[in-house]
Amino acid sequence: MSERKFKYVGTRPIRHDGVDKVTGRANFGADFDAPGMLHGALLRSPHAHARILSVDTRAAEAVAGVKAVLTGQELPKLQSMWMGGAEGGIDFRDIAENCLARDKVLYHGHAVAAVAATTPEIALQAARMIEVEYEELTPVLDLEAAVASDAPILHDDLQPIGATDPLPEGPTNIAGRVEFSRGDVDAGFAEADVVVEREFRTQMVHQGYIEPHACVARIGEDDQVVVWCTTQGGFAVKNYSAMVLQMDPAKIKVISSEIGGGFGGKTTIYLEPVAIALARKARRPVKMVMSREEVFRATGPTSGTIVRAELGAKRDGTLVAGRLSMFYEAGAYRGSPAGPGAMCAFGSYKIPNFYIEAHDVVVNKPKVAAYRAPGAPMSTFATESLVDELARELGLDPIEMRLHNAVDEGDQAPYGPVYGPIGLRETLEAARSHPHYKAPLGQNQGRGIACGFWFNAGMSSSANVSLHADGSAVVATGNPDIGGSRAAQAQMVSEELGIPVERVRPVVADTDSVGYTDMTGGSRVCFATGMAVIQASRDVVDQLRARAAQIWGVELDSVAWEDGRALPANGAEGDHEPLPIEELAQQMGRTGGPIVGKASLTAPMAGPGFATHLCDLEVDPETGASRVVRYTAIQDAGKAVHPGYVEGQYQGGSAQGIGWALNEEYIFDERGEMENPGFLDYRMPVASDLPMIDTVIVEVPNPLHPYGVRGVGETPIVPPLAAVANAMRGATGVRFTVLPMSPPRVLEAIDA
Amino acid sequence: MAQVHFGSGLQPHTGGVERIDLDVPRVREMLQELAERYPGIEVQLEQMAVAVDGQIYNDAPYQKLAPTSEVHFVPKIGGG
Repeated sequence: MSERKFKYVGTRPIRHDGVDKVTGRANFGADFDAPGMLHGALLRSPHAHARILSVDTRAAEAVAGVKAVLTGQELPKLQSMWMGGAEGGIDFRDIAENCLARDKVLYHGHAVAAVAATTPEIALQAARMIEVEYEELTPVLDLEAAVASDAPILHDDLQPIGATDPLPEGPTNIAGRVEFSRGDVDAGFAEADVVVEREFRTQMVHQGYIEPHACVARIGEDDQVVVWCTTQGGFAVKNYSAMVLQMDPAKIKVISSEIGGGFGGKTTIYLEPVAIALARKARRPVKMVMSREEVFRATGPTSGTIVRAELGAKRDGTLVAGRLSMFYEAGAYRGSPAGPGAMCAFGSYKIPNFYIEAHDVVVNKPKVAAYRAPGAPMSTFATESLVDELARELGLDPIEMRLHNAVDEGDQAPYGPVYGPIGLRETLEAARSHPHYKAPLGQNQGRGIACGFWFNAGMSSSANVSLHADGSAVVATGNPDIGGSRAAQAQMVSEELGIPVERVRPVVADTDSVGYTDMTGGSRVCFATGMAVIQASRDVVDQLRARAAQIWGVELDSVAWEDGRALPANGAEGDHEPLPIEELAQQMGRTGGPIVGKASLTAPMAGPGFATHLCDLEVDPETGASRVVRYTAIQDAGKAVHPGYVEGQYQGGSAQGIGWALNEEYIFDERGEMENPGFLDYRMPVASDLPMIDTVIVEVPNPLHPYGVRGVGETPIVPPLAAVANAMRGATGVRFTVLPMSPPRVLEAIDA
Repeated sequence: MAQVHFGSGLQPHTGGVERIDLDVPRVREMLQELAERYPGIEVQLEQMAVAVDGQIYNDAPYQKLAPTSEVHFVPKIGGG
């Protein structure tokens, strides 16, 4: 695998969707309109926790231009259907009641009712005329309040799932718990020469995708539904919507638009079942587009957390014991990323004795959704801060300390299995030899180092590769293209068929046009869908070889395929001239018909991705404001198919992590209303806030993929929280354990 | 026989057993065997992925187990 010489893989062609995107021609979620279309609007709860006593829609229905009004009571009442799954799993009852509340509202901004009208303004005005009678309940707004013995309970029927034995008696807000351990923790700490212990806190932060959620739903007289929407997975929208509405999924077709960022936040549904139900009622298409404020208030942030952490080492830097007790906010319904957070926390190091517990806790805030390496940045913030503290106390170089403890192939991961080939050590060595690590620091500057780990998912994918008569090809998959996957897929087809990337058209197919494909997420597309693309391309090559064999009158094994041509082989050499793909494609009709390669597969998890980040931070001691002055992200990509987009993933994840570390947070008032639901007050870093983020691609081939590819999209957000905090420690002398390290918080700490 | 490992989170359901060796051909038969030996554990295992010889499978009842296979149970992983 590693010896293979690539012609197209590893190059940097211009992405096929690039010109449309930079010229504004690309069609995103809100760009689609249907003839006769209505506009939908939602009424949202003004309370963070309340029982719905009644909903009176008569005034709204009487407004001229209103064509349909919908309440949660009109959606099918689902039984709890918990499906243990990624990042805590899903319950379709929860998804349904998050789309439209039924009996209770569980966060400020929870959708209660919907209106479809001839204009967006009429829909919004009518929605506001819906009268809802609430019985206000005490909101549960933080983790300590949620787990207190006298806490108000969000869900009377909530039973904890996982490693909770015995189960708490009576109702609880603790929805689940996971636990991992190894060795004898107390003995390990007794053996340590130095032990550091801290409590770390992070706040809810949003994925911050530029494009708000949007969809259009149309229903025909035959009850066939078409949904155009922005999503990370058309098949998920189809199946989830069918489940929420108790419809036959065969009646729903989903066409994914271009997507203006998702980062995990578009792996679930909010608007689509509501738009379908309104369209069904009004018998006209319905378009729904969220405002930025709605996106913040009612779509998936990731968890706020509390992590109590303890780490012990010998004088030579050998880690000997660790202990973590973690609490993750799930928001209104169960399903925080506590599990993967626990699995990643010690993922980078050989620690012989540890104990990790992580709790999934419901609170009266928006239901969290996946966000890039869900759960890992928060737990890693704690562990990498403590590794930094230990290195300082022991007078060790932070990279040497990490190298001393780094996991290698054959080591056991903290969650059980043994690692295959991994590249953590290579990223640390690349960091050590990088000019950044040797560069002098200026006044009020500090340098931070942190490592990070993410699993990378596999899951199910399908691909079709169709050959056209001119020898060009179309590759169709079911994955919305978030990070340049179309270009990478075209490169894979080029590599197998031997035709230029510009002669491959990559297509994001709708749910009627390609086999089932799991969502774009989990850093899985280049890996798993890429494997399907390679297999489908090889299917095309096999068919081309068979056509050449037919033309030459030889056996199949006498035809080789190389650089876009069929070549005689195995004794047939010299008898025939090579047949280029263009000629074979031209003859498809007379040699057996059109050629289409197909592949569908379920891939195992994609092989761990490790990264090491270096951050230089400068702090203004007068104001507490800080600025990242240099940042380098180093990560094992296995094999970078399109290095430019791999670097883009490293840079994007780093930027989001830096924002999380320095500025971003949901701020709630005492009633649970978010006070900063806009980009002016919810401060994400923009290009002018950051230096050019340097990148180093390390390539330790992944044996699970034919080219050695690993997922790369999520790992880059894991190290930055700690890398920035460690740099802040260097710049200020203060160990920050609470994020974000915003100017007022920094100023208060350095003045203390 | 396949070595099946139970993390500390599962051990309350196995009476503290950390590892057992099972002569089973596939993940499915392993899960059936575990449900018989440790009644109630199946509810926990339904929510989990299975790692066979280091490879994590979210849902693979028909994955074959070799006599030398090592099996762990881990939370299911997707991602963002």
